[in-house]
Parts: sequence; C-alpha cells; structure tokens
Amino acid sequence: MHVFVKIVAVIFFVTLITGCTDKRIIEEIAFINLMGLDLVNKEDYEKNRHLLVTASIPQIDPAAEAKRELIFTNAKSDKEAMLNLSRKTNRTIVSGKIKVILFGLDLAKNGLNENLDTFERDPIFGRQVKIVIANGLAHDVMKPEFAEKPRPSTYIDKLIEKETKMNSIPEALLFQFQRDVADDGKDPAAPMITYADNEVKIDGIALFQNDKYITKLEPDMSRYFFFLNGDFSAGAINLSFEEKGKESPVQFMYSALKNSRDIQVKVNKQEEIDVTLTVNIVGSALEYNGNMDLGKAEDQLYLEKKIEENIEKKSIEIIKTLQTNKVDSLGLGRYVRNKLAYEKWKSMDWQNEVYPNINIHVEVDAKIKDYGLRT
Amino acid sequence: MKEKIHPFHLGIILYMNQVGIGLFTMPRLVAETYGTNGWIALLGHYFIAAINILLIYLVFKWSKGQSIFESLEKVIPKFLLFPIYLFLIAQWSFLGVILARYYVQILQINNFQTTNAYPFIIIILILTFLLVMKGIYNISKVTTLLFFFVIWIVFLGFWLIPVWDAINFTTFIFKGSSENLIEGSINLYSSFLGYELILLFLPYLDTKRKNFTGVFFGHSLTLLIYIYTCIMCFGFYSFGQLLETLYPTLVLFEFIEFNFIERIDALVFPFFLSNIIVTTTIYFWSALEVSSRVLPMIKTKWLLIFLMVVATLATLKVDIIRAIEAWIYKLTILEISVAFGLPLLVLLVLFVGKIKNKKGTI
Repeated sequence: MHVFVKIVAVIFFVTLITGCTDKRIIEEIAFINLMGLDLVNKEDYEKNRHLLVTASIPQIDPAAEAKRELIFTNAKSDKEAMLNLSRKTNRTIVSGKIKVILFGLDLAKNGLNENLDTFERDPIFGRQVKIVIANGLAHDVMKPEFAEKPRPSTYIDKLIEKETKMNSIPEALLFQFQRDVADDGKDPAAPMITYADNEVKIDGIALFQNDKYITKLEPDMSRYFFFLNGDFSAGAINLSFEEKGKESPVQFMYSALKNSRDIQVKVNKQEEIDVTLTVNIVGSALEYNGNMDLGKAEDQLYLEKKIEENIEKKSIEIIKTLQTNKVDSLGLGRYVRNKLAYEKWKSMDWQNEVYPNINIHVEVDAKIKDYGLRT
Repeated sequence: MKEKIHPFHLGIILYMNQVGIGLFTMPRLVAETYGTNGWIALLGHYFIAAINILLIYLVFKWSKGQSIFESLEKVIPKFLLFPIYLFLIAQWSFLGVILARYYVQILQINNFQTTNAYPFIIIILILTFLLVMKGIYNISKVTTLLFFFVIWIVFLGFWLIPVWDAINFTTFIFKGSSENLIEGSINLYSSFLGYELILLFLPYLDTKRKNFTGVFFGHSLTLLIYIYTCIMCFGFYSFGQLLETLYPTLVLFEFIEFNFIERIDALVFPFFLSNIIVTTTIYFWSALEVSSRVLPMIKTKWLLIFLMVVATLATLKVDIIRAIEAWIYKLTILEISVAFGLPLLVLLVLFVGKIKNKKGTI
C-alpha cells in the first residue's frame, strides 16, 4: 500500500477512536455560565480564605420549572467550590463555558490576583471570560430571576456585550484585565453592575490600581472616559449647557460618534512630565432645543465650540478623579515610559508619586458631521 | 540512479524539522532571556546557525556529495568510529522520542487530560515508522504535503489585529530579563536545531542543483515564522504578562473566536502533530542511517523497531513536564556539540585525506 494511503488511514482511525475516551455527555453536564465570587466576612476571609461562590447553571431538563439552577457554597477557592457545588446537583459540573465572572465589591477591594491566577492557570477557562464587578455582593446580583428577561447569566452576558459595543463600559476580558495588571504603565478598568430597584443594570466603570478596586466612575461620566481612552466609533452622548435667552439648560444629542485620540508626552530638562490628550470627535446633531439654527454654518461652529468646552470640562474632571485616586486607567504610563530611559522609568514610583502630580491637558476638537433631515 | 531531493523539498524539510514545540514557548523565552524586544536577538541565533550551515556546505563541496560516513571511514579506522556512531544513534533516537513525548504532554494540558499518554506516543511512532521505511525521498515529498497542512495557521494571526497594540513593545531594548542568559540562549537555540541532520542528506542531493539555496530558504522561513510569532505576542501581551504566560503562542489562539467555533487552541495544537512527526521521522531516519553503518547485516526494518523500542523504554520514567524539559535541555547541549563538532570532524578528515592523496601522488 502506498505510504500516503497508510497515513490517511491511521489519521482517520485516530480521529475516530478519540471519541472512545474522556467522554462528556451533554445532558449529564452542568455548564456554569456565570460565576460569582464574594468576600462576605473580611475577618473570616483573612483567617480561612473563605469565599462565597455562586454558580448559575442553565436548566435543560424539561421537567424543571426554573430556567436555571443557582447553587452556592463557602469555599477557599473556586476549585474547592467546584467540589462542594458538585454535591448540590445531579449533573457533573464543568466550568469551561463560564462567560462571566462576577466579583463582589469587597473582594475586588481586597485584590483579585489570587483568584484570577487560578482562572489563568486552568486551561479550561477561555481568555474571553468577562470580568465584571458587582456593586455589592455578586450573589445578590445573581439571585433575582425576572420573568420578562432571559435567564440572568445570559442577560448579564448580553448586557455587558452590548454596552461594550456601544462604548459605555470598557471591555474587560480575563486576558485584557491581566494584561493591564501585569503592565507597570496601565491599570485595569472593568464594567460594574448593580441590583437596585428590582433591576440589574450597568453601574459605571470600576477603576483598579493593579488588582485592587479603588473607585468608580458614574455611568453618566463613562462616555467621557471613552473619549480619553482611545479610538472608537459608535455610541451617543447627551450634552446639556446654558444658553442665552433659555431658562433651562439646552439639550444637545451628539450621536453616531467617531472618536480618535492621540497622546503626546513631553519631558523637559527639569524632568517635568507634560501629557496632552488630543481628542477628535465627529458626530451627528440629532436633537437640539436651543435658539441656534442648525442649518447655519456659524451657528454650527458655535455649537461645536460648546461641545468642545463641555467635553473638555468633564474630561478634566475625570482626569482629576483618576489622578487623586492614583489609578492610571488610561494607560498614560505606557506613553510616558516610551519617552524615558529604562533606568529612569524603573527608579521612579509612577503610580504613587509621579502620576498624581503630572500635568495633563485635554484638547478637544468636535465637528458636526450632519444635522439630520430638518433644516 | 536513485531519485534526488529537490532543493525546495530540502528547505521545507529543514523548516518542518526546526519549527516545533519551541514555537509555543519562544515568545516567553526570548522575553525572559533577553528582556524587552528580545525577539531581535533571534537574528543572532539565526546567524550562528547560518555559520554552522556554511560548515555543512563546505563538507558538501569538499566531499562532492559523498556520504560523511564514507569520508570518515576512509581515514579513521572503523573501530574508532564505533563509539561516535553509537553516541549519534542514542542521541538521535532519544531526541526523536523525547520530542514526541513533549508534544503529547503539552497536548494533554488541553485535550484528553486523563487519558494515558502512550496511545498517542505509539501512534506518533507508528506514523514515524511508516515514513522512515519509505526512505528519504518519499519523506521529503510527504513533508512538503504536511507543510501545507499546517502553514495556514499563520493567517489566524490576522484575527488578533484588533487587540494587538504596538505600545506593548515598549521602546526599551533588552531590558528586564529574568533568566540566565546562557541557559535561555541554549533553550532558544534548540528551536533552530535540526539543520545539522543535513549532513546525512548529502549523498541524496544532486550536486548540480543549488541545494544550499534551498537550505537557506528553509532556515530563513523558520526565522520569519519565529519573528512573526514573537511580534504577534509582544504586541498582544504586556511585557509583564508575557513573562507569566507559560505557552504564549498557545494562549494566543485561545483568544481567537469564530461564530461557529470557540477555543481554537484545542484545534490548532493537534495540527502541529505534522511538525512533530517530521521531526521525529528525521531524527529516527538519521539514527537508522548510522545504525546501518554499525550493523549492515540486519534489516533496516528490525533495526528501526529496535531503536524505537529501546528509546521508548529508556525514557519510560520521563513522563512529567519537568523531567522532559530537563532531558531536552541536556540533549540540546549535546546536539549543539554534534551540530558544530561533526562537520568540523568531517572537514578535518577530508583535509587529511587530501594531504594523503597529494603525498601519494608525489
């Protein structure tokens, strides 16, 4: 027989016999979709490393009424939790389909490195797992089930996915989060969700210093964060500003945004660091209830100026928050690092001493691309 | 007359022999050994290997395509050569088996975690056996086929462009290394090894063709793939993260997701079986070539089975990643010595032979 035929035969045979070992039957497996990790009692955590681990598993048995199985346990790690959880369900628990890992606020404040380490080490977890911070206990966010919404795990996953696409929360996949933790010139940021008023909703951006949660940005500020964070296209922003002859602030809807950001770092002879963020935005004016005429070029220029002022003001507010909290979520350190010699960069304490005191300027250039279908 | 290996096939054999599991750890290894932008140092490795290949080219030129064994045996008595032959047989058989084991070990991190490793190793050895028995000309053809079977994986890198960021490279060159320079360089150099076996291909090359253009093509293709992989990883990971990731290239594939398939890393790694089969095949073929010199009366089929069984049994206890890596490190040091020592020895012998001939004519 020709050698090639033999090789094909062996490969074919090998492919077939792979089904004979390490079998997994889908009906007998409980795929965890969403996992929550909480620190309930700080003293207990410090002494025994006890975490509250909650797992949400889709229910596929037609006899069951609920759409999912919610099981939880106290354990020292997510691996021990798996063993404990296994005693609470009739199916074999697997964690390979986890889409979202939800960390409680207290655990996030305590630092996530220890927990993320096991997720990174275990090959069963994909790097595309989303890291989300719950404002409160992750368990509380996972517990409610809404009749009119899909099962909570799917709901949270899709909610995060959609909002990320719209650029109102940062994408924090396990891989990206770890990349920023390991980078000495950038700190991670993650989406935050909360359960309040009988709803599970986005609650802004959680800002970290290394792996520890420090503070958050409110949802209405997140859009401005994105102008500073990088290039994007998609999303809208509602601006309100004072105008002569109008008693209440004027509303202006700036949508179909296209943003490009540039960072310039200057280091002078006294080794003072000066960072300028240039933000170029192009968008459509779709709602405006002020006195200007959107059809006139000079009025458009006036409005563009207003937009620029508005965004600059809010941006500086954000940068102040970041600097006072010593969180470099925009990754300015990476740009500063590129301007310095290695020894200089390594000898300075960027996060705690340098970053809070550098000069950061924001220059916004906004353009109204079009103004809808009305004159 | 026997069919000769085409220079293009020769290049592909070299490429397939060089590129293997090393590709999966390389970005971390260069970062550990040389620090930031350490991938630039791969050029140094490339040139050292290129000088070594030039030595082999000289052997080819001087001996006019004669087998190195014939050259050696003309000058050195056979009983003195026997220990060298035995060493080479052991070295190459062990390398063949250990590399297959290393591949299976890493494969099992992701797939078939609890299955016994032996079925996989035995399958690799069976495929190797079938290939080796068909001779080098057929091996070269099959290798070319297997090359096209895996090379498409390179294009998967394009899916990483959205998350790839040049800022992760940093502007620092060779800063922040954490590994021993010598140990790291040796480990990295193992990813370029494989070219030394071209010494055994010499009698199968057509002296009229530009064989070494093919060899340098293969060698350069290897470098190109290595640098491409490193550039992908250095832009994908932050430097600190790269140092923490054991198999950066493997994790890179973890990140690629299609609508119809997730976790293609579990799919991509098995494709590299092609590279492993070629590597194991070439090493066993080489060991067999030497064995036929020592025991010309025994059928090659039985010799090969004997080599495979002995090498597998001898490495029976080498079944954890730590032990395998320690073996590979030691075998790499020996192999580097072979890569430089053997062509130098042959050159010396050819030189002595020439002088003898001259004296004879006077």
